Amino acid sequence: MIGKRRLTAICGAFGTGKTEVSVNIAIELAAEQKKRVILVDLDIVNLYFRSRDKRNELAAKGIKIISGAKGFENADLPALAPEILEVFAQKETLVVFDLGGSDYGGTVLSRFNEQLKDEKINLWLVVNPFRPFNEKNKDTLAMAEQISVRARLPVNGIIANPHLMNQTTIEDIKQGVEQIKQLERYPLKFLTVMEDYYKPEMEEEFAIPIMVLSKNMIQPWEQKFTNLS
Amino acid sequence: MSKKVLMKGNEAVAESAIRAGCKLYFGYPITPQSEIPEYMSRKLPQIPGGAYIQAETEVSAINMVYGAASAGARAMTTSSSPGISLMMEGISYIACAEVPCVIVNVMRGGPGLGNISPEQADYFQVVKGGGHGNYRLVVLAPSSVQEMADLTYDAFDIADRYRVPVMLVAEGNLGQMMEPVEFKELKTEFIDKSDWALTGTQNHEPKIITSILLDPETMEKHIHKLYEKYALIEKNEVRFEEYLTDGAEIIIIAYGLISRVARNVVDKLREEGIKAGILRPVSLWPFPNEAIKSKIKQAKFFFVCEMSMGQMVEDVRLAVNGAKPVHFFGRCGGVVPTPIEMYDNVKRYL
Repeated sequence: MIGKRRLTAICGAFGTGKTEVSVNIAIELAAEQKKRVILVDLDIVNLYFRSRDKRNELAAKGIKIISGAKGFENADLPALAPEILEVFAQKETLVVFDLGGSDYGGTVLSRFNEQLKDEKINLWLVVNPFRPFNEKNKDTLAMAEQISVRARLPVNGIIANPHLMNQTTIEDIKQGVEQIKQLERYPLKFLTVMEDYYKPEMEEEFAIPIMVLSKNMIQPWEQKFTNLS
Repeated sequence: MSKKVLMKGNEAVAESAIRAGCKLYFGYPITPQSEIPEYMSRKLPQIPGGAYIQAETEVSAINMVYGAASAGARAMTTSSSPGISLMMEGISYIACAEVPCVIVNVMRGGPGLGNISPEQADYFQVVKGGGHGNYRLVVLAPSSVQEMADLTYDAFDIADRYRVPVMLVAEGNLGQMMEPVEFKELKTEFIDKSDWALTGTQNHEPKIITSILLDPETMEKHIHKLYEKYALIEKNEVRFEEYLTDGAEIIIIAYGLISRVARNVVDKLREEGIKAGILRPVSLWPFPNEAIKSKIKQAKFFFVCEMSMGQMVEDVRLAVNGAKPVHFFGRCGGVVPTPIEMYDNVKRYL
């Protein structure tokens, strides 16, 4: 799904599904490739529902997470872990950057502008037209431009993530994809579909690659009653 | 496209307030509610007559609401626990001056600066007073993003109907989490406020809105008037929701987001043939005393679950008044109880 580039950064408006998509890309990379995968959690914008919350689950899949400065993982401080710099030196490692929401997320990535001068990076925008600031394509395009400016890197791809959580219908996906396809300025890389409602015939119907998402960010009331003593 | 949008609880409150005719918003950013001022700052300047002001502190924000609402406008401020503490003086003034407004508290871990994780430890503060003096605050506690939207409409209506401040409380994760939401048609009949609102003196005598009544007997009379109103609110505005309480012998009482954890637990207990149900207070004040009392006969025990060291449990004990055991289970400091640990704790009393 991610092509030849070693580095992929996932950006987008608040709550479009960046973390869920980033985690899934990392899992897919770890499963398919025999290389080390690091997920860099650059979300210093919002502390709720971040990839660092899933550190143990991802470690079991061979994915290392680098997040906020040690000891300050739960502080809303604009502080980054110094070890992030390592990922630019380790040329054999595959890296997924999970950016924070909106153009602020781009600002954080621009801190690595120096390191990114020598190496091309996928900077892909997650779009969910069911979210308030993605409802209109002109707002999505404005967001993409703002992120490019702040990140000092061009957005170079779109990930379609149209959904209404567990109430998503096929019709919703269809209409969402149609709208996102009109964002012609950026190449549409792939469509994401949650495993709960994925069907193989969707591949043909939508004629774009589909990434089937496994749900990783689970709420406490969604937890199953397994392993009860 | 579907009529639904995918929203965070915070965004749903903001959008709902705008739809309810709130054009004036004053606030100060604090995690985990900053999406509300962000949303308002983007949307309100686009609305005719709309204004967003980022106040210099929460103290200013609540007093700006006091001023705007005194002029008859629908006005709102929002914050999270430490910021709500700062607003308490203003809320007391507003209650005394009988000015309708809406305040949202997206609760985080405390005491002190605490942390930014979800908690329910502001119950005492918002339900039992918080500010000084003889007053009550109507407190509504949604448990889903849809309800965040719906109760925001209702909060403005209740505020106008009784000329009282109304607070919506949500745990941090309810403000942050996303769910599909549909904005219902607004059914408000806007109440004429011309008999009290400060709208100028062109065609009538000056009106006065104040919270200072120096003469003790006048003050006492005013407080009695407030309490007549509160009695009316207790009669008319109690809200709660029941889940599988018919014939239930274990009555779980939980409000807000963890009532959904409790649902999961009740489903599991029912699978095992254990008759459990949930009574979820939606209005924390007025508290659903009578609804709880009506379960005393059928209940073996009451089980209260909160994200605090136990605050609402005191009101449940008052309602039950020793007639049946009232057990408590809580997590605090920003820890959300899992269904499994809540289940284990209920089972301890079987």
